[in-house]
Amino acid sequence: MLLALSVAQKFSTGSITFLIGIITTFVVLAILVVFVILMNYFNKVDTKKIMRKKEKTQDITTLDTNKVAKEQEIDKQTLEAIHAAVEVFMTNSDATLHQRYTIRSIKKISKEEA
Amino acid sequence: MTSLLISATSIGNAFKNLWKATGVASPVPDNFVMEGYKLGIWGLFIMLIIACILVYLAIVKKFEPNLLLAIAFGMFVINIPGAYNILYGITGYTFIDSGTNTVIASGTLQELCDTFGVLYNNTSPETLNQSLRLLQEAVQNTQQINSVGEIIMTTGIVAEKGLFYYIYKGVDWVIFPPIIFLGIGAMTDFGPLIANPRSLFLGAAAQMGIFITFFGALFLGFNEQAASAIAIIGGADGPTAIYLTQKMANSTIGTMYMDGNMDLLPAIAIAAYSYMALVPVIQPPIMKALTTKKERLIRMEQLRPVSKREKIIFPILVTAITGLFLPAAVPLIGMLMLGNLIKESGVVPRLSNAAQNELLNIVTIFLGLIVGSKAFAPVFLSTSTLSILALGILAFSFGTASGVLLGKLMNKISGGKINPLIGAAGVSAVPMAARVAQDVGRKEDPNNYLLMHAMGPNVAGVIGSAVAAGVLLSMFGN
Repeated sequence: MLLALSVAQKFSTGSITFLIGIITTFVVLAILVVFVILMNYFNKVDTKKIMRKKEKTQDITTLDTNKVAKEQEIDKQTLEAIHAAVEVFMTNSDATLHQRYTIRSIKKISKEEA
Repeated sequence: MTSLLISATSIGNAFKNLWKATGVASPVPDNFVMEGYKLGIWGLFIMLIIACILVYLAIVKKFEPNLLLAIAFGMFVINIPGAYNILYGITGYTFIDSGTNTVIASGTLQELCDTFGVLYNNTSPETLNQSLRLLQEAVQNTQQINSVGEIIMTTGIVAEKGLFYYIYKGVDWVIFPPIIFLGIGAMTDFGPLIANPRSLFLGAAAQMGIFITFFGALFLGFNEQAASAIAIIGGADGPTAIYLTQKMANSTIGTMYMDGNMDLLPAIAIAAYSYMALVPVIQPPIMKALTTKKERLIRMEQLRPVSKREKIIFPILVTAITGLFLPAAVPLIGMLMLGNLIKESGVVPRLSNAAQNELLNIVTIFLGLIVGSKAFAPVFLSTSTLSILALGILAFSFGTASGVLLGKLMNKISGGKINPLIGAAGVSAVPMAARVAQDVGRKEDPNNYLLMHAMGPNVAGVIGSAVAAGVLLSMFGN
């Protein structure tokens, strides 16, 4: 069963194979290109979200640092007044559990945050 | 006195038998002589010299030594006179009913002649051919009533199967090429391709050489299956070339070639691997001829970093899309991407190491040895081999040119952002072709680093050639 194609048959077979082959290869790889670009796009969107989250976390940390700074700014007189007020409140209350207490921190907050 | 004579006769017979067993007395199996091989022991010597040259190129010049050394040694050992029968086994004939694809009879010529009552005469190639013709007639006459389709006669190993016969099963059953792809996948970084997906187009353009060569092969007298197998040399991908050749051969039961039952695998595999090794010689003149100095000087923007998630999704995506559109390419692409997924997942380092090292190395040794052993003088020394070598270089050159030309077009479209030299890397041959693009670019500007940019089209070429093989297999495979 040796090859017995005429020149015209060879030409048509060759041309058809060439066209189908090239078109199919390009189409399959073009589809891949589209999907890889989409993958890149979604990856970028996700990366942006992650970056935004990170930025937010950084903002909160900065805010806390500011508050600590504000806390340090509270003057000694005010602190003593607050301590005295808390002591009066705790000793006047009926719960015995509250007789032994410790003030760990005092924060100064703005009106908006309140 | 009588006993002395008997002893002398038996010693004489022993020597006669010993002489018959040597390779000098019967260097080539009878069936090859009957099929027209006329060079005798001298053909084997020619092949031994070629094998020694290949050993030299592998060891001294370091031309793809990982594979070429095994190929050259396989070629050497099979062409030692008389070795074929030991390494592969005794050759004979098999009669197949093409209608039901069942074996009617199988054996050496002498055994079959005895079975069908034909006179076996081995005094010369002519008398052997006469015996074969009579045998064919006898088989036709006795089996005509029972057979459904045409009775086909094939030659092959029928008895005392040797070591190479069994190792060859890895090629015959098309197991080795996909396993090699698994290892390649585990070694490949698709990062540059993911960062610049347009390079896939360059990988596709470089496959144009395959389809142009298909055209040429048809006009040289090869049929569609043989032309497909020869054309895939343009993909510059050894495993793909072996895979497609064997698939085509298996689908046509030994009737695919213009020279009767001639096996094209050795010529195609050797051409594919030789041209891969010769990339630094073949490609630069074509690249220079098709580009201007200004184009070669173009510096490309640095590629963006690729996340691990993208690298993990990519192999799954490629397998799914290729499988959906071109199932014939799945054995190659699927294994390539499995290897890559194993590597990129990072959760199976032992499997990744095994795929990259032990598995790949073992299969490479077997594949090289068996491909080389198929270059047996009576099969290899023919006009078809020369045609295949010529068509192979044509395929390779057209592939390079197509890649560069599309690179030029993409450069125009992108407003001068793409160096067309990276298009030449689309012919696969990882990472040699990418290195060549880098070297040609650096000759013009020593500070121009194109390697990572060329790796994109280079790995795209591996996918592209597997897709092209899938296209040809879908069209002419069965």
